[in-house]
Amino acid sequence: MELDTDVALVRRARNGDFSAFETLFERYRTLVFRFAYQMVPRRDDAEDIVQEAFVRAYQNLDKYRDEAKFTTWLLRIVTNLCTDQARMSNRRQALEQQEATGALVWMTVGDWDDPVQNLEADRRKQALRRALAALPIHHRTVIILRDIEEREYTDISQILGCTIGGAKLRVLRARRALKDRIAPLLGDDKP
Amino acid sequence: MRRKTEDQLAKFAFGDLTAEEASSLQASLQDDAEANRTLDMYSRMKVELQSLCTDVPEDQLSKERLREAILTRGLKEHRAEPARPNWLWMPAAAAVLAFGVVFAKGKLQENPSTSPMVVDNSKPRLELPSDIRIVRPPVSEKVASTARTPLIVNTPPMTVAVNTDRGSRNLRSGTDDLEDRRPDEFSSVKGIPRLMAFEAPQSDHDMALSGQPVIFESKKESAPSRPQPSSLDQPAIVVIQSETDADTGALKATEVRNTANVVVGG
Repeated sequence: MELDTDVALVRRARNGDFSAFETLFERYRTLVFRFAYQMVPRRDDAEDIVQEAFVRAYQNLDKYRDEAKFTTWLLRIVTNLCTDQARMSNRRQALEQQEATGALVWMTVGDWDDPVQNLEADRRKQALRRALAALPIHHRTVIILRDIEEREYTDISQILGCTIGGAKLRVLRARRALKDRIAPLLGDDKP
Repeated sequence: MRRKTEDQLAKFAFGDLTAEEASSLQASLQDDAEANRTLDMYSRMKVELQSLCTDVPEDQLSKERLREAILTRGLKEHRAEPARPNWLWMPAAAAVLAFGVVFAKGKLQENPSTSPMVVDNSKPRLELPSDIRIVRPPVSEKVASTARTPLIVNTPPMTVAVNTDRGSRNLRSGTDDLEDRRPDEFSSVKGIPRLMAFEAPQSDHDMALSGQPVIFESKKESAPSRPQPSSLDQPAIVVIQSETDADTGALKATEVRNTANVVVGG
């Protein structure tokens, strides 16, 4: 068995080899951060969630079963953290709503390198982000997993803890909800 | 537009349809402007969503930050998972427990003296005096009128009337007296704390200033009297006497006297 597979690294980490867990962290932190940033479009919040996810993963390594992919297990932790944050932080939700209306756009950390040249694209992206942020958390999760991160329905079903058919149905509903929101923002809802 | 058609359009736009389903859907959409608009909307949505994937800033995470988080917070919260009960051992554990209960019950029946509910009548018991008269030493008017000062308590000897099978005798709290008694008598009274009581004086502190204790004496010849009215509503000390209940034969406690402003200590 190779020493650098996820399963081998997890086993080494379980036995107290923290460097093995650091290897897992370096391997997947970008993937996890990208997902968290889509879920919580503020970089500091996303970083906190990623760190918390890895801390929880380290604490619960003994509960990880080798038959599931490590990334799937990790993304499930991140999804739960994002859901908890979205449900429990009313104050943060209010701030996000303010941000969605543009009041706190200057606080958003994003790609602001060339806003003039990409003004139209940036406007669409912002509209999409606003629409995405306004979606319920369960819709947002499946949209990000399937249409942004392009994960397979098998992974999505494992992350969400549902069947593959259930995952497909959730994706369909979420796309419909997003389309209803994004159409007026993009100004293309004319019949 | 029907919801099923819209779902098919969304699937087609996001590439979730098979080739056959896609071709049949395209054929049915040729003259449907609304369906084409919806399909275009979904297609644009897909492109925009995929563009968000690249619109992610660099994170500022580090291994050191993670290590610190785990060390400072993670390890404190981490608790070893309690060992789950192995259900295979449960029948054996239940059998051992049942055997232990039966064995202990048999032991108690064989040796009643080990039962805490059995009263050993062979040993002399400390019986509470049937009548306690509080003797208040005379207090001078000068002491009584003294201004209030902190209560100073000495440890004067206490006399308690004890009825034993050899007759009534006084028991003092000093250990020298207790040592003179028989071991069984000593064992029956050694649990009594040293007691010093002052009756509620006319002045709050006159008794303490006088330094003279109140002595409890057995006074069988006199009729029991009601306790002296206390300066407090609630009595602080209640003296009880054990009596045998006529109906059940069990011992019961009867209040003999109560008093307040009593200092207990040693």
